[in-house]
Amino acid sequence: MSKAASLFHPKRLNLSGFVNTRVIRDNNKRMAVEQHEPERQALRYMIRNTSLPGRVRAQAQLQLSQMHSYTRPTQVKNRCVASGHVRSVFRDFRINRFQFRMQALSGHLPGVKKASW
Amino acid sequence: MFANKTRSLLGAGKNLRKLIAIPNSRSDPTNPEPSSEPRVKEWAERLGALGKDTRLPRSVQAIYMRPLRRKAEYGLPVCDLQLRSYTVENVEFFADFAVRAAYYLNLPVSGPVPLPRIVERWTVPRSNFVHKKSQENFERITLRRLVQIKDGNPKAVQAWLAFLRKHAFYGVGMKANIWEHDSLDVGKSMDESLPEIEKTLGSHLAQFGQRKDNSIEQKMFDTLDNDRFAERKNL
Amino acid sequence: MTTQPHPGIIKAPGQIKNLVPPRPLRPTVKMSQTRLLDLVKTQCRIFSMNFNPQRLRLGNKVLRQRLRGPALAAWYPKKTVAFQDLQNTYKPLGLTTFDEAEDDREEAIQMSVTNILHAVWQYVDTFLLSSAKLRGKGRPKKKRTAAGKVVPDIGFRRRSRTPD
Repeated sequence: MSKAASLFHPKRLNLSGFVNTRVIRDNNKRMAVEQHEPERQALRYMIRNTSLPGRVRAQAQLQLSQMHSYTRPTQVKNRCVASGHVRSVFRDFRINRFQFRMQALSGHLPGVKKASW
Repeated sequence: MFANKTRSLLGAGKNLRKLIAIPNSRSDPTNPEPSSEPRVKEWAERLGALGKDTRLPRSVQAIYMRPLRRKAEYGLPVCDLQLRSYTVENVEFFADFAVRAAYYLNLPVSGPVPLPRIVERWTVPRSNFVHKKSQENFERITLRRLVQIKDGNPKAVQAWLAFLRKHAFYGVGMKANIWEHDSLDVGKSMDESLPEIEKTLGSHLAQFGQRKDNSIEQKMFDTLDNDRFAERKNL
Repeated sequence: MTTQPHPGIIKAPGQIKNLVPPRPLRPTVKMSQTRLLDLVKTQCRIFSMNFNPQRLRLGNKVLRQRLRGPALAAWYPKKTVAFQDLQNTYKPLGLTTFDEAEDDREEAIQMSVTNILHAVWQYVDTFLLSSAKLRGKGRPKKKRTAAGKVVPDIGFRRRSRTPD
């Protein structure tokens, strides 16, 4: 069983800003998650519903586990929009800590100032 | 109270422009020979005489005073408008503008009430982790003002909000909560409005439904075994 | 050593229990179990809730969860109109456009390519000659003695070819 990630490659890249392979890959995962989420939730519902016959639930489990890993929301990782870095990315700004500092110092982030107290 | 109390603030601005512009445009083409005493006075003269002979329209004068307010009869809150900004001047100015606009729309208003500031702070290392000891602090302080409309007509409230959106000020965000009140026999009015709602929603609701012969236990296997699922098994 | 009980501690909890007046019981109305169930059922029907008296795990919490997909998919900024789109629109009309940024970029690439080639050739040259001296990395010149003789090199590094 081949689980080709190429299934999720978009025909045309719909990204702007900083782009590298890992950003593209993460974006592909996000798209796949969005597309397959209702299906996954339906299967999860079947699995958790104890009133359904055991066979159905087992089959649903199998189906869920056979879905492509890209459709799994835990595969998604928040990456820095400005540099593609994964570590210490602020959710508020979608930016890495270093990018945050640079942009804050150059006044690109509204309202963010140097603090001292 | 005032002659033009129904005018909006913008109308007041136009008035001012008219007042200043009229004498310039009133040069009489039929009488090109200027009289010994010119009808049109010089700018400096006119501006100097502004306080003596003439006055600004009341609505313009009001801008220099504290905002006028309508008195709330019942004090029933109808709309909460929250203004947010990172700069004091902007939010103060716009809150004042909102209060004045509410006056001209005949809406009783309370506020602007300064709500607690939202302080967000971040500490980031200045460079690589090696130099973790050298860090930098950043903060963002969000200032908030609450303007509350009391027992106003819902349509007037909508007009007020639309006016504020049209003249939205830079760097000021707006968020409004609106409460609408109905008479005691709500059910009756809801029943009356039902056919109209059904007509608008009908096309959407037609897409939803469940087949009568859809018994869960049998069809579940079919769903799981159908082509769509089976096709993915071979991935 | 005798341990005296602290005066604050009351040793018999049973006594405290007796001090507290019993809670008044709720007024009981005779109501059969089936009627109560019916009531709950009607309640659930009216407020569109699930009637589940046995408290079975029906997995409804999965259905209640909001879909996270749209929020996840909106993380990266999406492509907006680029200059290239403009170029592509005007090309069929026979109009030419000038993208200065693109020209600059290509020029820079050209320059960097020639620079790299130049550097490579230089490196190859020096490598083939295998002379550290040519690359300016040679040993410092030997100090001349009074006898006009060069101090013998004891180290096992090769002498520079060029005479001093």
